Amino acid sequence: MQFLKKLYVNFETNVCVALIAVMIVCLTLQVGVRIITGSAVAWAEEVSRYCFICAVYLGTAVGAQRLAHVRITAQFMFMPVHVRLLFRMIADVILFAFNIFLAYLCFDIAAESIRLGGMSATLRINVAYVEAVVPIGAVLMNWRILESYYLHWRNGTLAKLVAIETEMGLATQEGSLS
Amino acid sequence: MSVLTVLLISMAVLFLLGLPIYAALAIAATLSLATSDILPLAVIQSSFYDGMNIFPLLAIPCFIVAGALMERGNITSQIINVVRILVGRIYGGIGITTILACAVFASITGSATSTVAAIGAIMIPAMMRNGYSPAYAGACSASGGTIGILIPPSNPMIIYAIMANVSISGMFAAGFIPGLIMAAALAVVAYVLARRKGFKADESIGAFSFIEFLKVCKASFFSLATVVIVLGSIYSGLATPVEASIVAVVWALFVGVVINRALSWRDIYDSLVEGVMLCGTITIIVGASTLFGKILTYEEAPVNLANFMIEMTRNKYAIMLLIVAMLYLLGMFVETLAMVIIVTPVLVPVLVELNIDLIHFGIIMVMANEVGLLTPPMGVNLFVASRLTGTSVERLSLTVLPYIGVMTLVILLVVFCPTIATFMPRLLGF
Repeated sequence: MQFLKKLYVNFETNVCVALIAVMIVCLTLQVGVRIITGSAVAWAEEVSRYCFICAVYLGTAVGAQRLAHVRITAQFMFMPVHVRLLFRMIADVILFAFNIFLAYLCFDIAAESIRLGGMSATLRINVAYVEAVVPIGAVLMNWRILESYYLHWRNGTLAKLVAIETEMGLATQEGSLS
Repeated sequence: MSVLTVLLISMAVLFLLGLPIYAALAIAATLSLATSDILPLAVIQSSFYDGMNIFPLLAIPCFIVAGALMERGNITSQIINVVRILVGRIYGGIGITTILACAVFASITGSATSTVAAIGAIMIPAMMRNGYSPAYAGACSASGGTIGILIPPSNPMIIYAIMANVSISGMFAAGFIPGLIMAAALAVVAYVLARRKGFKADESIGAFSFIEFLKVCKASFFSLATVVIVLGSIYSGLATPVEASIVAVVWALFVGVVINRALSWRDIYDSLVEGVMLCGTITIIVGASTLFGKILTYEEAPVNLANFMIEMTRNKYAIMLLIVAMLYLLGMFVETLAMVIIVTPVLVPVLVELNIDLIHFGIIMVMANEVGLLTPPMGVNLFVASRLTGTSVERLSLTVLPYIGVMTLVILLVVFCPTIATFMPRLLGF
């Protein structure tokens, strides 16, 4: 049970860490081969690029979970906590709606391209499967937004969502579960 | 309402509501697309994907991971030891050591925040132990840390070069001399302030002995070599920026695991998480701003802005000073990389029209961003230093003023004397 909980809490984080690690390994391989043989490994470049894109879009969910997204918040500085919380909720509702729209739009486009089947240059995989990471990231991000509200509400720490420190981008490292 | 009005007003409202910057840009763009028929909605998906499908961008998370590994793998503390033995015995020596150590660390990392975090974590306690005031220690580390983005490698430079379509290596080459000037200028401020406040030299070091210096150098050999390896791979032209970032990661792993035996699996995992966080919260802005920029370009906004500015004055120095003033103002509210991503595409047509060297301007932009890191309410370096010293951000924002003043002088110097920035790239043929 404990293991499943850990797996769930750090799901996107671990997937992204793996993606960045694969990216670094592929790039290392590419540099190594170029130094030794002087020729490039085309597929390694493509894999690393895809890993990067996936890490970016899945990383938005990690950013939401750890309250680390970059915002402009100076205007809230002298407001009481409950007013800031209200603004934060309005902002999150808009973001939530946009994510649903983005997911809907991109799923449609991805489904269409999967049918048409555009192949990537060296790996010969369908690019649409990589493009699908944009809507997946949006859905996961919405999930983590809801989750952070639920957790902070349950623990009575909703104020933490709008703490000056969090808003200034110095997010807590521990994640929001515990 | 015109498309542009919808775009700019909704952007302003969304920024004020406190949406993440990337989302504000994307939603504003979506609204203006939905209320007009200039471009199909599918452009949203393609910008998000293609905007990110740029190979040189991969260097940014790699440099972040490398910096995190170096910090955890004791490379930082060994670099500090070497600098300390050189300048520690000067009056206010620990402050000067801090600034110069920041400059050395800047040449292996691309981020200002990681520079102040890495150097400050060691130097701030050292200063406070030796009777330096917490405010002095914080201001000194916060401003020294800003050199992190001026001396290459530098994440804002990578973003700027991609956005302005100039050579990344050219930008890296251009940052070196201004970086040294900036470090020297800040060290002078640290010295003068220490003199006035009566903060003494580092008493733990005795008279300079060359033998001891060599001993320390030998003990820190592999950490010092990091500088040579990272800068060397950039300047020799042997490696592209992405390759240089990979060299930095591999070398940091090698020194941290094999030589210093300081890196655990946990440390490596945490370093990778730092890279992930940057991807998910900052690099994503590139995708959103690609979309935003497409609409701006479609509506010819940058060209109109260029014409508007040229109508005011054709003097390129006046325009550059105007832009620097604007960047100072924006820097108070917007995070560094986000600002470069948003502002660059808008400004480039103005610069091209006025025949301003894009690399020269890029350096000025990065330097103006350094000041942005020190000005509240959004001054990230102040937050890190405030956390490390336990001094309030308000107090620190006052004590960094002398540093900001000197930084402004250096910026003016570079504005009016472009050779400082363009000499190295010309020499190296970028």
